[in-house]
Amino acid sequence: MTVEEPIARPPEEGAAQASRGQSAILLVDDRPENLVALEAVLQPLDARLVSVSSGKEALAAVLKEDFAVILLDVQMPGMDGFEAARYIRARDKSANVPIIFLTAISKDVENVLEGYGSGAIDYIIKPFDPFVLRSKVATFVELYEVNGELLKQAEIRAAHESLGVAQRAGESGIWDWDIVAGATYWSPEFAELYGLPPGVRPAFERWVDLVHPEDRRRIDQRLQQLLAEGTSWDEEFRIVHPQRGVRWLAAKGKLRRDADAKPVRFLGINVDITERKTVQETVRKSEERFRTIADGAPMIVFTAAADGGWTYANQTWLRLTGLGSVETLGYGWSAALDHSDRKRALARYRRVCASGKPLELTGPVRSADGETRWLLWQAEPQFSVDGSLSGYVGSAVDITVRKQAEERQALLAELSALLDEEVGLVQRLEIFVDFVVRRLDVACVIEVYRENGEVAHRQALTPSGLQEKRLDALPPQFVEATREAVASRNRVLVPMDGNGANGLGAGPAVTVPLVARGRALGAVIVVAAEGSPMFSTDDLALLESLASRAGIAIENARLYEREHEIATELQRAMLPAELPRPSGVRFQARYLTTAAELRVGGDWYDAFSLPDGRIACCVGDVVGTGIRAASAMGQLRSAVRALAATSAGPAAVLERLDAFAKFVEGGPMTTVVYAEIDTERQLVRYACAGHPPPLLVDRDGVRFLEGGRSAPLGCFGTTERVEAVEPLSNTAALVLYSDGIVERRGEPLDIGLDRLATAASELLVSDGGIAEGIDELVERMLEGVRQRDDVCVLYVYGLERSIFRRELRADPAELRPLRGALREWLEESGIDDDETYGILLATGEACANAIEHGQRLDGSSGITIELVLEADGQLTAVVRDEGAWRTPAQSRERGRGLPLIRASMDSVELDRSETGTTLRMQRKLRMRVVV
Amino acid sequence: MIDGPIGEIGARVDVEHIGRFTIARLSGEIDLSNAAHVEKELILGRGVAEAVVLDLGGLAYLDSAGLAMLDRVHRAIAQLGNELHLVAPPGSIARSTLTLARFGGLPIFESVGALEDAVTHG
Repeated sequence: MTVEEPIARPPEEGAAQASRGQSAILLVDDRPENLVALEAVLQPLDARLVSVSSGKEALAAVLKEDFAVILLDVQMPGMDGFEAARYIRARDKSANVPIIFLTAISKDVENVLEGYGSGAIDYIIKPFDPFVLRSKVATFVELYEVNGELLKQAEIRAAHESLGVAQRAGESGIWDWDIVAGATYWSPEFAELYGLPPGVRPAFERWVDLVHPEDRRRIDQRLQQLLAEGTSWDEEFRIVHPQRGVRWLAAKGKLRRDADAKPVRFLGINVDITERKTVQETVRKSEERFRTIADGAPMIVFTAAADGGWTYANQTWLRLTGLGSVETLGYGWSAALDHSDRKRALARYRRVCASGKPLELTGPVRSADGETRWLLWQAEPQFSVDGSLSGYVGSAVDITVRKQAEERQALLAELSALLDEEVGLVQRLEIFVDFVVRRLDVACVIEVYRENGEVAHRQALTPSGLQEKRLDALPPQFVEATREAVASRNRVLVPMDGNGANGLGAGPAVTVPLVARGRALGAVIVVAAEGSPMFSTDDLALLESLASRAGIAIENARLYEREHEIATELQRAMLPAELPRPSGVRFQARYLTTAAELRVGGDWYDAFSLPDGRIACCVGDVVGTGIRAASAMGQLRSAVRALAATSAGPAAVLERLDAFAKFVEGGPMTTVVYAEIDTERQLVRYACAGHPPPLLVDRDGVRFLEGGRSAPLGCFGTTERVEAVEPLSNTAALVLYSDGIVERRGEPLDIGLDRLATAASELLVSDGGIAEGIDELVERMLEGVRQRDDVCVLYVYGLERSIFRRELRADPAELRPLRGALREWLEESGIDDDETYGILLATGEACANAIEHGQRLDGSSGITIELVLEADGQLTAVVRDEGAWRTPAQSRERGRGLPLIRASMDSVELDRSETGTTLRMQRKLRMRVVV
Repeated sequence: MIDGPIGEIGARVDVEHIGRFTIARLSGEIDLSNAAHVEKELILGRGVAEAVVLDLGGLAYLDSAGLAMLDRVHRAIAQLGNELHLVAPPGSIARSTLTLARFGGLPIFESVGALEDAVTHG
C-alpha cells in the first residue's frame, strides 16, 4: 500500500520533545510538510525525533548528540543529501550512524549507487509506505538500543570482576558441626553475617531456619542429600539480615565420614556475596533484556567468543536458517552458509576473529526454505578489562533485496548495452526478447503498436529458442490483459481460468506495457514455464524495469526509423529515377545509404543532356544527414539542372550555384563536382567545389582530374570558380563519387584516393565499357568498413559510341577531305582497313549522290553526314540532302552507286520526300580487340 | 598529262609503253571529283598501242564514278579498235570496288605479268 501523499497530521503539541525514548532519530528535509509527515509516521516509535531542515543543521545536530538513525532527504537546496551524508560519515562521532535516504527522484541506478556510495544503508523512494518506513526505522532504533545495552553489559562485567577481587578479602564466618557430639561452633563473624543477637548460637539443625524462606526448602533438601551421601557443600542462598535485609551468602564446606561412611563432622565457611550477586543479577537481567530485544529484532543478532564460536544467536537467525538454538552454537552456524561461499566466508571470519578487528562481511546463506539470502554481517569486538579480546557482538541484515537491486541494475545495464549496439527497431526488439528469454528463462513476446492500435511489429521467442507459432496468435485472455496493461500503463497478470490454465498452458503469465515519453507504445508479454511459481514482486519489478528500458530504446529506434523513412523517401524522390541515355555516353549510378546507421546523407548524383548535345554530370554532397540534408540536396540538384542549361561551362554553373546555395537551408559547405562531356570533340570540362577529384579511367590506366578546384559552396564571400578541360578519348570513362567511398575513420584522405585508384585500375581499365566492374569497385571500397556516410558513385562510360558529323557543300571537291576525316575517325575507333573501306565507299557514294542533287538544284544546299558507332560495333550512317534521289533509270552511270552501298552495308533505307532525301545505312563492324 | 605527284586532282596516271602495250598505272583516289579528269588523261595518253592496260593496283579509292569512267574508257578504246585490259591485284582497293559492284564485261588480271602471259599464250 502506497499513499501518494504522506498523511498530513498537525504535529502534536511538542511531539519531538514529548517522546522521551532513549534513542533519538534525526529527520532532515527542507520541506516542513515532509518533516511533519515523517514525524507523524515515526511518532509511534518510542524515540525522540529531532527535525532539521538542511544539511548544515543536520551536521550541527550530529555533533551535539548521538542518533540511532538519520533520515536524509536527497534533494535539498544548498548542501544536498549525498553531500551531507559524506560529511556525517567523515566525522568520527557520526561515522557509523545509519543513514536512510529519502528521495522522490527517479530510481535511477546512478542515484541509488551514489546514495550507497555516500554511506547510505538504505534508500526509500517517496512517496513512501508509512508502514515500511516505520518498520525500517524501528529496526535501526532497536539495533542502536541493543548496542547500547551491550555496552552497558561490558561495563557491568568490568565491575563484577573488580568486585570479585574484593570478595576474596571480605567477611566470612566459619562453622564446625560435630555431628557425633551434636555440638556446633560458629565463629564471631558468622553471627555478624547473619545478624544474630550476641550470644545466640543456633544448633546446626536450626541453621536452615535462617535461610530466606524462598531458598530454605531447596537448601534443606540439599543438606539432607549431603548428609545422606555427599561430602562437598557449595551453595548460594539468601538470608534475611535483621538490619541489612536480604543478603546473599555462599557456603562452602566439607562433610567428613567415618569408616562406616557415617557423617561425623561438617566444616565450612560462609561468605557474603550480596554485592557480587547484585551485579550478577543485573547482568542476568540485562542479558535477558538483550536477548528479549535481540530475539524480537528483525535483524540477526549473535554473540561469539573470542575464537569466533557463537555463544548466542537470536530467533531471527534461527528462524531464517532453521537451525536449533544449541545446534547453531560454536561453529554450528556455519552450516547455514551457502555452499558456494562457505569456504571463503569462514576463512574470512576466522581471520577477522583472530585479528580482533571489527568484522564486516557479505555473503549468501541458505534459508530454511532453501532460498539463498544475502546477509551483511557486522560484528564489533568486545574486550575485557585487561584489554584482551573477550568476544564479538554482531548482527546481520538481510540485503537480498539490495543485492537483487544490484543484480537488477547489472541486468539493466547489460540490456542497455545490448540495445545500444543496434539502432534498428526490429533489431532492438529481437535483442530484447532474446535477452529476456535467455536471462529470465521465460517465453517472451514484444509488440509495438501503431497509432490506431494495430500491431506494427512483433517478436516472439521461447526458451527453446524457437519462434513458436503458438505465440503468434495469443489467446483472448492475453489480448485482453495486454489491452488493459496498455490502457492502464500497469502490469496485468493474465488470469487463469477455472482449470488453472490461461489458454497458453498453465504457466503464470503477465503483460507489461512498453511506455516511453508518457505514451504506451507496445507491450511485453512474458509466459513462465508450466508449473513455475507465480512471479514474485521482485520478478515483476525487474520485468518492469527491463520493459521501461526497452520502451525508451524502441521509441528512439522508432523515431530514427521514421525520420530515416521520410528522409529516404525524400532522397529517393529527389534522385533521378532513371539516368538519361544521351547519345555518346552511358551512366551507371550506385547509391548506398547508410542503412546501418539509419541516417540519410545528403549525397546526390545527376546526369542530363545539355541543349547543344553535350552531357552534364554531377555528384554533390550536402553537409549533415536526415530530412534537412535530403531536402537541401533536392534543391541543389534542381538548381544545377536549371543553371547548366543557361550557363557557359562548369565554372559559371558553380558560380551561380554558389549564390543559390547560400540561401538554401543546409546548403552552405556543400561540395560538388560538375562536368560537361563533349563526345564529339572528345573532351571533358569540369569544376570541383571542395569535392574529391573525379577519376579518369583510360585504357592506359587511371588518374585523378585535379584541376578546376575551388572551395565548397555557400562559403562567406565570393569564391572564384575555375574549371579545367581534359581530353576524353572514346575509350575513357569517368568516375564521379562522394567522399563516403574513399573516407575511412582515422585515415588521411589520400590513402582512400589511392585505394580508389588502385581498385579502378584493376577493375575498370579493362572493363571494355560493360560497366560490370563498378559494382565490384564499390564492394571492394566498402569491404570491411562500417559505412558511416552515404556512398554515391556515378560512372560515366560508353564513350566509344562515337559520333562523326559533317556538313558538306554540294561540291565534289568536298568528298576527298571528308573521306580523310572519316578514315581517321574509323581508324581511331578501332575499325580495320577492310571494313573502313566499305564504310568510306558507302558513305562516299551516298555523299556523291547528294552532291549531284545539290548541284542540280542550286549548288548551295547543304548535306549532312552523321555516323554513329556504338560500343558493340553497330555503325549507323545517315546522309541527308535537300534534293531528290536520282533513280538508276535517270542515270545509267550513277546506277552503280546504290548497289555498291547495299553491297557494303548490312541494311540501307532510303527515305525520299518533298524536302529531301535521307539515306540511312547500317553495318555491324568487327571491333578491334584492344589488348 | 597528269604525271607527277598526286596534286589537287587527287589521282595520278603514269603511262608506259611496252611493246604493243600501253600501260597506264593509276594511283591516288578516283571519285566524282576527278573521274572525268582521269578519263580524259587516259584517252589522250593511250598512244598508238594495240592494247591499253589499266593497272588499278595503286588506287586508294575507287567509287561508282570511277567505275562509270572505266566503262566510258572501255567504250572509247573499243571504238578505236583497241583492247582494254584491267589489272587489279587481289586484296587491292580497286579489286574490292570491282567485286562489290560485280563489275563485268572486262577481264581483270591479277598483275601485268599475268596479262602478258595470257596474251602471249592465249
